[in-house]
Amino acid sequence: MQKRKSRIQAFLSHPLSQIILFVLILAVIQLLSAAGLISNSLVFAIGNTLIYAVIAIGFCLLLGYSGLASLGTAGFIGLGAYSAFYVMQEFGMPYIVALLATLVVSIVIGVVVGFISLRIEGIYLAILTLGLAEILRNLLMAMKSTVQIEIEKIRLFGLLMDTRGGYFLILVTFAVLFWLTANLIDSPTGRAMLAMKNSTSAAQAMGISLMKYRLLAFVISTVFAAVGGLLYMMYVRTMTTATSTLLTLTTSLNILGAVIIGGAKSLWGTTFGVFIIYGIQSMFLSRIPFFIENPAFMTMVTGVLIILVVMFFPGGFAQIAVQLRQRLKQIAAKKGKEGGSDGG
Amino acid sequence: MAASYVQVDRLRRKAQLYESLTDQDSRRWEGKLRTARAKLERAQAGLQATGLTLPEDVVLKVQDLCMYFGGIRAVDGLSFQVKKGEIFGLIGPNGAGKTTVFNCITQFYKPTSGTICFENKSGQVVDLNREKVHDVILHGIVRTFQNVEVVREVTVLENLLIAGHRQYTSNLIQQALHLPILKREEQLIRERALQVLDFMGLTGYKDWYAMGLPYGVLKKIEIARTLMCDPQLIILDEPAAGLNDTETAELAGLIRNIQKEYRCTILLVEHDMGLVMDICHTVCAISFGRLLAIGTPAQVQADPGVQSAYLGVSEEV
Repeated sequence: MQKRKSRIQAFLSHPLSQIILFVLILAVIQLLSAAGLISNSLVFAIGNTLIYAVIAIGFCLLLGYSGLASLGTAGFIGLGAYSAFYVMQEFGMPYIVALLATLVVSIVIGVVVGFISLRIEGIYLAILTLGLAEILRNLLMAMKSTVQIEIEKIRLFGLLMDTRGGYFLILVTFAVLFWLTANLIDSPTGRAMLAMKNSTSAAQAMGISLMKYRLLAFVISTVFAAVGGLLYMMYVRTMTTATSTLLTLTTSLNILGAVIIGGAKSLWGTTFGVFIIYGIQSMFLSRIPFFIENPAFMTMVTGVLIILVVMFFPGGFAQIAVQLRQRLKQIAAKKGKEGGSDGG
Repeated sequence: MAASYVQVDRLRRKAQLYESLTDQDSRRWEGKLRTARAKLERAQAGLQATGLTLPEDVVLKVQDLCMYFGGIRAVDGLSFQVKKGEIFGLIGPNGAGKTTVFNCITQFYKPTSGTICFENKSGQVVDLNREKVHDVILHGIVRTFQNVEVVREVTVLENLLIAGHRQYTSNLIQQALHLPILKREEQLIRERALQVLDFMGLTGYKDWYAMGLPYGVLKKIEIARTLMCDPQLIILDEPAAGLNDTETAELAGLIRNIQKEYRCTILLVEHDMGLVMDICHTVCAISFGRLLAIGTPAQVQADPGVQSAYLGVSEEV
């Protein structure tokens, strides 16, 4: 039995099996809603939250691993959203082409910001990316104030991506990007980024090129944000840029908050943080009459949560999980000991 | 086809990696090994000679090195040679420019003028001023820092893996997909890191996070890192700073051991005169960026210029 237990533990600690398990659970939720057991709006909210999780994972690599501060996430999301609109709605191309266009645009912008990050650091970089995001938002708004894609135009390999198909597409995208990022973190690249975050001089002395890894970090986070924008347009299909908060500083800050309260160096923690910041609002609070009448209080709840976590668990939810596990182990060890002495 | 040293070095590692893979499973990797070798040969043929030479037993030659920061002449026309396999000590009062010399050799600063010639691992003489700061390690020069620069967020073992960063040849896609080639490479470099930890007596700390470890251990981790890359020249910036007498004595033995075991040259800056006079074969004293004296520890100690720089000039003389 001990052997089987350790095998199960080994299976659960592998990131690939974790992600498969996670996807399966969320897929079952979708099927339950098809069977009428869970409300459709809850499933829609989960899909929406997963989109932010994709964005947050890219940001986790940038902030938690490379130590680069950016407040430009929203602008990069806009890039993806507008590429999706132009490619699919205006040119009538399939989803795959929109994805490619998004990748190209976001890689170019990521390289540009990466180069800037070689000269400007810390808080100044945050301000600069914030400015860049505002420029992008206004530019996109001037191009088209309301973007809307007709549902028939969203096709992946000929399949229509309606709300259900879109949900699965988001789930698969999340799983693939999560897995790739987890692999990168557990490889020379992830370690090089951490070295760069801790000490630029040590990193350079060890042969790590700051330019290469700063560019890489920015390209990855920009691509993930833009893919998030693309998924958003595919799933929600409409956005009025002037009134939507998606492309404003609010989103950038929410993503930052999610990564910090989740645990800046943990991908699962980050995912959990996104569910706290976005999920709690859209899945639970928005169903309570008090919060429906006073929507401002919803933001206050998340604000208080952030303060509590940062005050008592600076390592975020990832730290809470580690401490809980240690406590459980201690209790189990104690119980085992007591049991042993009783028997003796 | 013109090839740079960096490319040749990478191709050489790749060929070595495929060799070790072919030993395990010849059918699968033989073809790749052949292409890797062919590529390496072509690149080696295209490697341009630098046209620089050094005397037979010299590994590093610093000639007329100047480093000015605005009006401050931190290093002002300094020249010295380091022989192969020796422990070379650079001493001088505070602000003499010792660390600046190190930063110039490792290219953290680009010197205002002067040349720094170095015979690298493959016996080629290179002008270090033409190298990028992160490529210096490929030639076999590694350094430690005055104020310990250990990556505190990762374990001791991972710190060594970071030091082995340039030994990985897997590209981004191979890393993102965790392909077998990356895993094999990781295994080889991990083995090497464990050997180094064993040599340094750090095996017990292998899985500890560097954050919160005692200062003496952090200093050892820094030295261990330098051993990850077949060092030709190890540069130690005040290795004994902050250590107590016992630890300093231990350090002296360790530095001698490293020099013997890894057959490398060691260049160090140190304020602990006892240590310098004990382990160094050659000592070079500088003051205000200029050479005061160079020679055996006894010669330098007896030099009147060195004495006055450290103690001040007596009025009576």
